Amino acid sequence: MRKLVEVRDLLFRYDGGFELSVDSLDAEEGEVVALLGPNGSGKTTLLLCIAGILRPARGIVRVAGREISKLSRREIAELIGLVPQEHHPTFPYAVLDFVVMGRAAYVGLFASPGEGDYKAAERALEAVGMSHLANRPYTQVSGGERRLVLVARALAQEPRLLLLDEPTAYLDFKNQIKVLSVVKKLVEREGLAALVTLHDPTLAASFSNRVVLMDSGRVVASGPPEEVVTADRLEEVYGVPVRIVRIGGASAIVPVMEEVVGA
Amino acid sequence: MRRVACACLALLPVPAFFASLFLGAYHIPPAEVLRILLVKLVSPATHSPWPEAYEVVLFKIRLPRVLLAMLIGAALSVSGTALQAIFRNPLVSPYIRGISSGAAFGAALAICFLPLAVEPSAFVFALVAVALTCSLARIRGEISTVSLILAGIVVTALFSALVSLLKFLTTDPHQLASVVFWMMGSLSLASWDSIVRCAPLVAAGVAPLCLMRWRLNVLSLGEEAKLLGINVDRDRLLVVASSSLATAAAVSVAGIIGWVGLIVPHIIRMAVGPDNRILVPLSATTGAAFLLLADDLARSLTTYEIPLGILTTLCGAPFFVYLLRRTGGGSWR
Repeated sequence: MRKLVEVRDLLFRYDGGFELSVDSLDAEEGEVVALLGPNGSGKTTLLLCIAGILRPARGIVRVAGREISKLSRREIAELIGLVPQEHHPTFPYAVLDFVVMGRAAYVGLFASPGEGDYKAAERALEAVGMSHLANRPYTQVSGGERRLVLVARALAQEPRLLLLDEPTAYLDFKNQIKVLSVVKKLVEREGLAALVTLHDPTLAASFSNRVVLMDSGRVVASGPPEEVVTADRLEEVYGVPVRIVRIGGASAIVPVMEEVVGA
Repeated sequence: MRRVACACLALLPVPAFFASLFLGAYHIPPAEVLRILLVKLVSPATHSPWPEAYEVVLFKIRLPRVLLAMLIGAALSVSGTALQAIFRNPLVSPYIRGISSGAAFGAALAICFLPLAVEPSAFVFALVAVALTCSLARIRGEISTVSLILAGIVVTALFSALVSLLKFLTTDPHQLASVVFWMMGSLSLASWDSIVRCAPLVAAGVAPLCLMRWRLNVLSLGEEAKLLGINVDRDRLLVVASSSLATAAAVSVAGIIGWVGLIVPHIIRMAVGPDNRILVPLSATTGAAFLLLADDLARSLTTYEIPLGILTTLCGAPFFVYLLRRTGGGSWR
């Protein structure tokens, strides 16, 4: 297993005073790492630091052995595909035309995408199972489909690392599972790595190889799901008493309702 | 269906070009127009077997005017298309950055007070206004869409006030009339000279926009385009600079011709969809044809000339409302 992501001694400060501090975080090829934590714990900030959108005050981020702070946006786009949490489409581009925009890093300023770029976009759409939407206006597909189209756009970049910012937000139960399964399958098959921010501890436990639990800009725990997603840790971070129910190989995290209501 | 629409819009300038050459206060039979054009094209030195007046009217008056109308129509429409894409805003027109009122100030200054030619003065002040807008909009090194639009409104208001001041201060009623007419926009002063001055600047502005037509698609994603590996700030600046150059050149020779740069991009987007790879070239051809036909009306509707800017607004606004109602907003969400 090759190490794809290496974060060391990272420090980032917002003007408002919020501070993100991560001593160490790694991800290897074929690994899905879930970033779990309450709102405002710094999950998205961490993704943006890794993608080079935010510039950390201190520390090093390496992806595939290359230091992100020394790369241009074009070089970063060839390494990292970031799937944003929300996307507000302005123009109703056809889905395929939208996905092919993932090729921008490979297409010159005065050029248009060629046959090879369209092939890459078609492969990406096929990989997420959305080929049938290729000619539909992007504004007219459902929320779950749109999320997968965004994943396809990131795949069209042919990156080594996928960053997904709350890919399950606003999706129904089925689509949450669908998006995460597609990501997991892709990561295993293509030897990518994925960092995924999630709000649901059960989803984090079932779809990731490793969980990084965050709170107030710090990593509280990091490791295999069964070690990190424990009742004690979750209660400590979220302030809600929970019980972990194991069913077969899977586990479900349920809040202890009597105590939540009592408090 | 979409292919047919594209082909029609692409070829629109051709019939418009010939129809416009046939039209005019001085009657020349269309067959004669075609014959003169053909003969002159094949061998320019041929001695003319037709009345000399035909040749003068055709080559000294109509042809430069027709070509200038097409040039300006294309410049304004392509600029509008590019700006609507990068600002993701349907209300953006090429004049959003204070260009028109800056140019009006330059023109008024030259007409009333300074011994300057009107055209270069208008051109320079148009660019001064854009530069001022961009520098006001720059907050902590970044220019956001909202700040640029707000700064554009401020700069437009500022220069409009200065134009009013100049109009107020001038004592010569002829100068006042000249300023007012200039601001209504007209191509009645079109000449080969104005084409020679305007064409290279328009070409220098429109060419990069045509080449960047796919990049405009990516830029229309907004800040998100950064994730896809492009230098958003640099590319946006290039689009703003190119469109400013083309618009300033157009305004400086023709005055303020409104609505073309706002409605032509909309009309084409409603007809063929949002892909700038198709939109940009079709904006050029449709804009050229639209302004040409508007100018034909301006010069032939009545015995005196109606200012072109008034006509473009009178035709443009209702047509725009019609399209908006029919398509329910079309390409804008």
